Amino acid sequence: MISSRTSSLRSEAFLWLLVLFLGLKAESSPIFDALKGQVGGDFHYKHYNDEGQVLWLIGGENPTFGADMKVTIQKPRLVIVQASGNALLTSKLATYDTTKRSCTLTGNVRVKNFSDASFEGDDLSVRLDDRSLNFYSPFEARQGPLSLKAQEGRYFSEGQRFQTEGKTQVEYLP
Amino acid sequence: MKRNFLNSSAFFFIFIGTIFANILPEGKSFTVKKVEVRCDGGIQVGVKTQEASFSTNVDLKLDDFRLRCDHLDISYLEIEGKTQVKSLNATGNVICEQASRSLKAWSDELTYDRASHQLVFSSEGKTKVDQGENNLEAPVILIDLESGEAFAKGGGSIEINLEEME
Repeated sequence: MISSRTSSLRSEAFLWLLVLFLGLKAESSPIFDALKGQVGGDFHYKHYNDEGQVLWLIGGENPTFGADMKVTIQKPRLVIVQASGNALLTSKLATYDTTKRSCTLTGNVRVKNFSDASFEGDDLSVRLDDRSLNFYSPFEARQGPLSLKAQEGRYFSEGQRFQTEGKTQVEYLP
Repeated sequence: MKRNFLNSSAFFFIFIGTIFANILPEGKSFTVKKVEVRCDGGIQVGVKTQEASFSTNVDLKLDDFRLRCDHLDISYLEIEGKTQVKSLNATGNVICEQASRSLKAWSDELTYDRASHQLVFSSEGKTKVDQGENNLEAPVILIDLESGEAFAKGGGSIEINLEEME
């Protein structure tokens, strides 16, 4: 009985979250977002651009919906749809903040084919507003013959800008 | 046997021309081969703008050529599929070394411009270049990579081991 009641509360919380989230988006942004999931099952979130193309697809298993507009996903997988192809982001755990529109990934974070680059680290924040990847701990990146190691860094998909902080090492190996 | 010369441009041409003609790959321009850059203050790279900046204790190694400085700005371009340096500006405690030629240079600033094919070492005090027992000093040393000539601006000195040149 306790388990059933907990599940019911979670479902209500999720429905409330969904309604509130979509309501906020309709008022504040021309970009249409779609959030779909079920407690104890799969979860996915789609983020569209003005032309109706899917820019981001965040998916995973066993979502937990918090009242603070956060969705924690186990075994998360994120796909970024871009003109150049699909990027794949994986990690052990992801927390998607619907208000900040950012997704924090922790544990063995792997990013492949993001603007022809690949990244590895332990903590990554994906921001949907400026389409950036933010590493707050040591990470490695590769793009073609270039490889990079740094203590912190961020990559902006817009303009393909990249910056690091602290000790940084770049190698060009043709 | 050593002799000192003051403002001896002829020796500057021979000395610098000989030293730097083969420092840079392909003689006339930087062609990026195997490169390693380390720094303590982070980097900023614009993939579309083809620019890169490196901050604090920058250490660049290109084969056996090594450049150390406080700050380094590089702009690059692609020519026939090869990445080439368009311009380079190194500032603050610039030290250039090439181990295979026993070469070492010190200056406040180093600039390279592909369009003019010029490499310029400049300092508020003296730019100093050593190769083995040969050395020279001048505020500004400009190397024309097209002609292989070098020009020293301002007063300077040159010290050449003539036995080595023979």
